[in-house]
Amino acid sequence: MSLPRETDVLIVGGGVMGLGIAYHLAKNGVRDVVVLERSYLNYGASGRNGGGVRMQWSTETNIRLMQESIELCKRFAGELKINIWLRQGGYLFLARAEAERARMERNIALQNRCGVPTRLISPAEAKRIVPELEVSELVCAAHNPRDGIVFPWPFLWGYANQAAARGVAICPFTSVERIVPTGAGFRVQTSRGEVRAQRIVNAAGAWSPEVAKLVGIELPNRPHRHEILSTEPLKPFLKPMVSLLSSGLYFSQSMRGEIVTGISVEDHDDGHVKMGSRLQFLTKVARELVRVMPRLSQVKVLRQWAGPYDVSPDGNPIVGEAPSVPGFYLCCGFVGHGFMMAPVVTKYYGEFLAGSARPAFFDPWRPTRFAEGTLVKEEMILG
Amino acid sequence: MSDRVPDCTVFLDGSAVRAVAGEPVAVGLWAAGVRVLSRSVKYHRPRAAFCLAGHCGACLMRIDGQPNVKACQTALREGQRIEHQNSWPAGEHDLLGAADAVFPRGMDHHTMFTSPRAANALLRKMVHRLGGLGRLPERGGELAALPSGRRRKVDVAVIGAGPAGLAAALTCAQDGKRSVVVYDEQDRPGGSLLSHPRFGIAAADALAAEARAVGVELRCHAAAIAWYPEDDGGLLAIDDGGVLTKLTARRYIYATGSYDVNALFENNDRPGIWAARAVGLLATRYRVKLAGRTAILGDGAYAHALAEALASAGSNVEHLASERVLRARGRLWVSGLDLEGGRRVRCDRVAVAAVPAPASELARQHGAAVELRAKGGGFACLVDGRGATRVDQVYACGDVCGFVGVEAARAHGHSVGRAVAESLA
Ligand SMILES: Cc1cc2nc3c(=O)[nH]c(=O)nc-3n(C[C@H](O)[C@H](O)[C@H](O)COP(=O)(O)OP(=O)(O)OC[C@H]3O[C@@H](n4cnc5c(N)ncnc54)[C@H](O)[C@@H]3O)c2cc1C
Ligand code: FES
Repeated sequence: MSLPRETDVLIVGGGVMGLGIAYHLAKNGVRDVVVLERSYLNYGASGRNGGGVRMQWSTETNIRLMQESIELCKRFAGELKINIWLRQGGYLFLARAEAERARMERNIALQNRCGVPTRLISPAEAKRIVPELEVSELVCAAHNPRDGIVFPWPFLWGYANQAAARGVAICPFTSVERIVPTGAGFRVQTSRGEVRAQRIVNAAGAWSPEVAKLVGIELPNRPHRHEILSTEPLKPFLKPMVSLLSSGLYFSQSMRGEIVTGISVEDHDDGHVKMGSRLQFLTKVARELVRVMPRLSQVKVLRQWAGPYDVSPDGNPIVGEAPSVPGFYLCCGFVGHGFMMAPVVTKYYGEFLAGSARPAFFDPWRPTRFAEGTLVKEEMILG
Repeated sequence: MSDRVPDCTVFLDGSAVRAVAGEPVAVGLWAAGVRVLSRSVKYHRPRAAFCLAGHCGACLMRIDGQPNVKACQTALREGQRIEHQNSWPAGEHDLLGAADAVFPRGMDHHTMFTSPRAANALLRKMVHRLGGLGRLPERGGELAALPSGRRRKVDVAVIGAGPAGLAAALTCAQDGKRSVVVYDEQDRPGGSLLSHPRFGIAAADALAAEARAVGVELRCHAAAIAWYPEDDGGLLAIDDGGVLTKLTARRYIYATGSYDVNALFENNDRPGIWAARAVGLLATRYRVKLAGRTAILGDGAYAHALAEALASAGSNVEHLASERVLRARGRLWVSGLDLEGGRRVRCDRVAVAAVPAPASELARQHGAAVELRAKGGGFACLVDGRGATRVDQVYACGDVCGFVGVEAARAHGHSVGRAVAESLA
């Protein structure tokens, strides 16, 4: 794709956020849009995640948005002409310590008030949902049958193809290197030449602090490596995504039958994105997994990889126009749950940039909250 | 020629089959007349062993309750339970194979039935049901059996016990001044010597004995699985007979050889179409009598050596050195080939001698530069005159640097072994 010299909206980052916003802009009549991606599309977290989608959160904003996002996932195939393989097998959170029960009860009460049918269940009931579970160490579990998993890649195909069909210029292997505000917009220097833009959206995920620095903004989010693996394909047997609150272990069975599992491992977070794989992770996740699912001890690992979480101080995203640089918009800080949020977030973000009202979530997730000290902590972060 | 005497009974989908204990399951079943070992995941096309080297994945079966086991890498033993996977109702009879006939040009399930919603929901359910391959293992649960792994330090680690690796190891160890260990994923040393009709087991054993005599340690059933640069300052993970070895060495020599690749023609995945080196293994290592007619495709030195050896053993050979194959015939087993120009060749098996692809991914993971060789099967590891890659301490020799064949690989191994020894002196 040749690089346009001028555009209305320039989006930095060809992940699910950047591509989703591009699609919704074009759908709402703003077709003068360019997406710049340093590598191939979905090179970052969007091409490396576990595909979990859930309504079990600890803040009302997240719960309500995810209810809507899952509804949008159901309509995705019809609208974008591609299957995303949503399977609502539920999410089963397991607790090993009594202290976790109180937290679970609090979150479930809030979820129920929002209309999410999560239930606190006994270990025995959890075993009825997943017969292979070893429940002797568990005290209770939380189960919402409407949570589920998706296959991440078709989101990219859907958003990118449909955006391109409406005239959006999608430019992979093009990195943004310098940004000069001109008063009436920006001059953006890329590895393939210059583009003038009226507005910029920073959707560079874990790299967003670097991109923000180009216009002198210090963002508080930091990259954190998150590792994950996938096993040999097995016939479907595991219904829900299962997660252990104490260790952050999670596992599900993909559409192709692989067990996809991850866990957080200590790392030196030095501000740089790291995507190397470690034996330390493989050993840790294998031990934790087999402790709750002994039947998996002989299952063969096919591959492991890593991607960057984009961690904000309170576990919530950073969105909206940067107060110090008008015309520079942020859409980052989605930690380890930006994929499931993308359908709803990019819809409202795109509509907003196309002239609709400012979405409600722009308020709690505003970039100024860190300076103001009004953080809203999200507790249900895994890894 | 054949000294194979069946001495054990195994059970294929419950029926008794007589076999030679110790031979690979894939070889034993084939010799006993079993044609289809597995079914492809999506179209349920019939599959059987292609490479006999553990690299193509066409021979996955359920063995003793473990799913997705490579039948070519598993030794037969008395009482073994072997089952077909992914076919319904069973094995050679797979009604889901209809998928292949219904969609002759393939189907893209990602864009199928995206609307209306009811059709989409049905599709999702169906695809989910058909997904996956083997069923969950029967066994499992021995927590204590999760080994913690052992640390190991050596002077020189050689990955691959083919002609290049064995030659490098023995040259490097000759003066007795350093510890040299060779790891190989196969059950015996020799690599491509084992499948070469002019070398075979005797030559492999001789070279291995020579290496052992100068103090080289040879470890088989030991696959190097990954280079982890960040763990303990960098380590090579080795699945050494089911136990993890975390290996660090002063020098690493990748002599991982090459993978067999197929030629491009219609139905090139039909059972009975083998990699030439797999046919070489059948004849040379396993001493199976190759009844009927073997069509050999390819004009390389190996194709000629195989054709010669089979013919002199009294086998019926059709060597198609330069003809272009359009398609394979036969439904569950190859029965012939259609050639360009209209000629038709009848055969009972095909041996494809395409240029093998360098097995360069491990060296590459360890930092070596690779280069695409369009006519050389794939990505070759780049080395200088001493076999050094661009990374300190990492060397490579043999086919992994671009396919050269047994004799040249061995010579390269000797010279790289010498260079590595000098670098440590
Ligand atoms: C292992 C793992 C598992 C996860 N599991 C889940 C899950 O189960 N459910 C869920 O909802 N979320 C999950 N997540 C999180 C989710 O993947 C992310 O939140 C989401 O993909 C973020 O999308 P993004 O578009 O913001 O960022 P990214 O996908 O990272 O995209 C940012 C893009 O910007 C590009 N870029 C950076 N700098 C520049 C530049 N200067 N010029 C041009 N381009 C640039 C990058 O190359 C990258 O492609 C997981 C993440 C990881 C790593
Ligand atoms: S992997 Fe067994 S025949 Fe290729």
